[in-house]
Amino acid sequence: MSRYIMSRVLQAVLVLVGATLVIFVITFALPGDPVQALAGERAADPAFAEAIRARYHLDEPLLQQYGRFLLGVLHGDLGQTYSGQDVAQMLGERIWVSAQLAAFALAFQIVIGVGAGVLSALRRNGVADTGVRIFTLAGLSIPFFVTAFVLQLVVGVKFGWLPVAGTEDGFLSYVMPGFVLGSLSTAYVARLTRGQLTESLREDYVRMATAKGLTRVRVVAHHALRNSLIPVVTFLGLEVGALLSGAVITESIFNLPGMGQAMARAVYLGERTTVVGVVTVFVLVYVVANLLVDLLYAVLDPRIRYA
Amino acid sequence: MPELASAAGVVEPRAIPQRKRRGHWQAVRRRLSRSPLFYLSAALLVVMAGMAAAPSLFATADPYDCDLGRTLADAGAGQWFGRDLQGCDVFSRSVYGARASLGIGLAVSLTTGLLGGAVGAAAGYFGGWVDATLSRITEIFLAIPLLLGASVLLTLFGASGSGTWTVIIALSVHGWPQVARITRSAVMEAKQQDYMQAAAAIGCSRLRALARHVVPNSLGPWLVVVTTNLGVFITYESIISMLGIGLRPPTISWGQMIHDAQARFLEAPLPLLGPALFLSVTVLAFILLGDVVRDAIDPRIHS
Amino acid sequence: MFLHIRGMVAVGLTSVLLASVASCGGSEAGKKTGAFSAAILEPSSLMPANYSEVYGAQVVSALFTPLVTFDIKTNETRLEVAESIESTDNKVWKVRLKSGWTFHNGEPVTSRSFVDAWNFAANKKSAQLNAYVFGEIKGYREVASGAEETMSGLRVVGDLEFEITLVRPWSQFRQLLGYPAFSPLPSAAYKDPKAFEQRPIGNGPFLMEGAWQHDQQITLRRNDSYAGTKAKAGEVRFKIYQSFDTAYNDLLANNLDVLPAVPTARITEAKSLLGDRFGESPSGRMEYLGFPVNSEKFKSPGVRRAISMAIDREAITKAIFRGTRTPATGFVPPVVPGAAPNACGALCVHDAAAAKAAFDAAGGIPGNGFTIGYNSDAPENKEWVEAAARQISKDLGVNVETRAYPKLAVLLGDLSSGKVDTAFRTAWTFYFPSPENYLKPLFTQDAGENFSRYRNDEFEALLRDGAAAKDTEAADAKYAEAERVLLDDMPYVPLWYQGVMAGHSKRVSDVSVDSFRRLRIESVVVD
Repeated sequence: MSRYIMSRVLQAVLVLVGATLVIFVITFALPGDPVQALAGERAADPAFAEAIRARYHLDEPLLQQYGRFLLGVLHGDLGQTYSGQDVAQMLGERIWVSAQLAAFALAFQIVIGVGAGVLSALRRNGVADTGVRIFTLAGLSIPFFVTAFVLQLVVGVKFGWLPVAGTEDGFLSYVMPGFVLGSLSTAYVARLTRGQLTESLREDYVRMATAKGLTRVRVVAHHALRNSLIPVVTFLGLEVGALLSGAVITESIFNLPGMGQAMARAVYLGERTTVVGVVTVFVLVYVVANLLVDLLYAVLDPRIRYA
Repeated sequence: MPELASAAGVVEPRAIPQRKRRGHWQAVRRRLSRSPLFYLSAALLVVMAGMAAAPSLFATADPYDCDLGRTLADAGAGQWFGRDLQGCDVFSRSVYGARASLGIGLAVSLTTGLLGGAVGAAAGYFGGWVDATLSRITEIFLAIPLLLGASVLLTLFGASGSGTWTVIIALSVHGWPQVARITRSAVMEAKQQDYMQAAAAIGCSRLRALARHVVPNSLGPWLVVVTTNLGVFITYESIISMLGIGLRPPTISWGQMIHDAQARFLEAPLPLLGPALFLSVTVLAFILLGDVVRDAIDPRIHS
Repeated sequence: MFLHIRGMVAVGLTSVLLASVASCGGSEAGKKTGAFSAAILEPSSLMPANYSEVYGAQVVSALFTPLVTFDIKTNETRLEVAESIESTDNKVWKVRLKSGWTFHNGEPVTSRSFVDAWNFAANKKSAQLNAYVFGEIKGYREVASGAEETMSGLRVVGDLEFEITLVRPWSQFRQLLGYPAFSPLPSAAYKDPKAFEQRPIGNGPFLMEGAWQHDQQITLRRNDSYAGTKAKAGEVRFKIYQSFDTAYNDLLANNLDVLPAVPTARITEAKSLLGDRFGESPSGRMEYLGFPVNSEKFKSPGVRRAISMAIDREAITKAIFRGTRTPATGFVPPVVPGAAPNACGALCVHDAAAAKAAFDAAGGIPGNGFTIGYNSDAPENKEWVEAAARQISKDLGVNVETRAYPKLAVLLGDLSSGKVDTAFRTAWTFYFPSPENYLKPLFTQDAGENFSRYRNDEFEALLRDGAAAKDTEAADAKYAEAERVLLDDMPYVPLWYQGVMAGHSKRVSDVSVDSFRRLRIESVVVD
């Protein structure tokens, strides 16, 4: 097992180098001149453009810029945004915001998604199953930006139960955006759980357990569910990364200064080093989350072993 | 190649499983034909496909006949869902939007499903260095944000055409790693099942075991993810189209209609609810179909 | 079935919401007296010569006061830190400062504070975005290229007196001095400009309370030793939003006091919900449809004039902008002192028959169709560009397509590299209130903003005459003449003047927004 983990860590380093290089190359293909993007609706003055290019080494060849970036990373320095903010420090503040948002979204997915999935698997094609299907359908076919808009007006403005936007109200600030962000993928979790559990309930050992006289709750919780969870856990593992990195619109609607917004702005402004810095964090999150999930497989299903 | 086919060693072992397989798929067909949900979802899909193929049969009003003077007009005779900000007929535009939205949803779901499915199945089934290589590549693609990938495609493909292909490529590149991870997990799990071990013990070849046992037994999660993705991709189209990367007018899509109507939802809800209804029906049809097919195929559920 | 129910529920919900939001309100407890909050988006910079948008301008003009400011109603120039600004030849300008002005750290504001600040901003090493505004000062080129440290046109005469020599006469220079880039800086600014930018020290009516909290907030406190008219509120908290849609909802929920820009899509609703807490005022911003005038498609002025007459400005401003923009009647908005009234005349009024006739007379457009490019980072662009494209297609019988670009920089890049041959959407906000500021930066051959690549020697000669004019009337007359030349050539089609829609909570009153779309925070009264 420890050998397996060691080898995964080594592979992770390769992934990091590979991913940052890929992103670096990609950022050269970003549309628009970054200096012009800084100037907004006006044209950038040539003298200003030249000064900015020199300051951020924009005229150097790709590999030289990449080398500069790697060297910086080794010193814990991710460079600066074009408005003079330290990228590492900025991400340090933002990851906390994103982590809280992701935690709430994930909690909703686990509680509502798995719960709904179990319910509909136990009552397949019954009332509960239909109910869950309708709920799933609503989650999928009302785009989340619409859900966000309506919730903000109803829960935030009309009733004042939860803050409309911002991070000023502590964890309460994250409840509504967390729900919106989680609602989309809750449908996946519910449907995956339903399908997997339906299969497991037919397995011999589950029937055996039932035959032995174990209570239904015990059978479901300890035997069937546990073995059904592998694809569900895989999906949730992916979600950790996706929620941290892909919440651009949710963060914007609820005015949360998170990672998604930092990435969106950097892409918009064509800030190469910031884009790469942000994506580096995303890669790390995905690599770690996937490793943990892979290790969890062995816990959930003892038959899966890593040599 | 008759020489090979007549060789005793080849014909004999194949005869039995083939009969079995036919039996399995016949059973699947039988189960499907008995399921009312199957007919419901199929009927909905036929209607939607009809709209995509011949929208003028379903909507008489011209979706491009717009009148700013009738902006956000309410529902009435000849305009069931009212008119949008530009004064265009919402119902008619929703019908005409089926082609692009369904097309993109289907194409991207299929591409990501096949690519992700193949990569995931290979990684999960073979394990070892194959898994390590494929999984690490998957991780690199996972970490590339949609926004970044899509922006770059704009530079690469420029402005030609309706933008449909750019949307399909951008969403496919973004979507396959997720399918791959889920498929990998399902295959890894299926591989460990007792009957697989038994199949290996009696000397089934790995490829045959993969096709005959692992695929049917791990198809469930794959089907769930691929059918669920369809609705999500239809929505995502509007997000990248906003960047100027996606569909261009005069192409109409549900995602963009919903997106454009969202800001004035309080003033006029119909321009949003109209296309949302079409999207809902499509999503419903696909997830129902996914569930029904899955239940019919899975050998364990009916054992 | 379910879906229909959902639809009905949503419709019902909407009416309940609309009816009830208006009644919510009440005062928010636990707030500091004399303090209010206002919404902005993240500024690009807080250095007077380095910001690119109205949010930077908003904060900078609260922290800094330049030599002159502009009257909120008439936009006439008023002396502020300057005691007098005089010139006999429009080329050498003598500035005398009032005494008693200090920076927030107690340092007195002297002529050095201005001269050093301008030299710093013009210097290439400082990489300040708005450095080009010093371009007419003698010696700018040398400083901008990094060869010199100080502009030869700036001469300190005494503690409160300095002299500015321009490259050529410029009658509008006094107005230019009100642009925030001409603000003074304390000596602390040059020691560590990066740190200074995070917490600027100015001479304005407000001072920084703590540092700039990026993407969260900027808190300002009243400067009680301000030498000008002191602010009424004790504290302003600029809440930084990612979109004004969210800010508007926050205003409805009573979490925000002032929103200087209610989103266009919510105007109808805001008018009924906010009542007298909603206010509209005109601004100096206007929008255009531009053409690359040297391209095959758009080289005929007749075609360009026909397109102008084919656009129904009334219908678009009414349906899409809900009256928050008013149809343009020339190249200079009426908020600018000296603007010629209704310069455009019939050319800017929708007339399908006249447009078609002019179009045919001009020989039409090669390929009988063209594309309008627009940047999709502002949601209303798509809405009006599509409407305008439809109108032009219909009236002229051509095929007009639209194309979204993720940001203006991409569209401009594609245009200048000759990759595309499209008409384009563009906008302009003046940086000093003079008709010249709507003509020279956009349509003269050396101007950086001349995206249409327009060139007309007669037009430029008239601008030069205006710059050399002895008094304002003579100058404005020349600019009006130049504007007529421009209207006849129509390199851009003037579309509409943009208004500003501000909303506020019940806690505050006297909320006003100036023509630069800046909230006048110093006059806001907290009840």
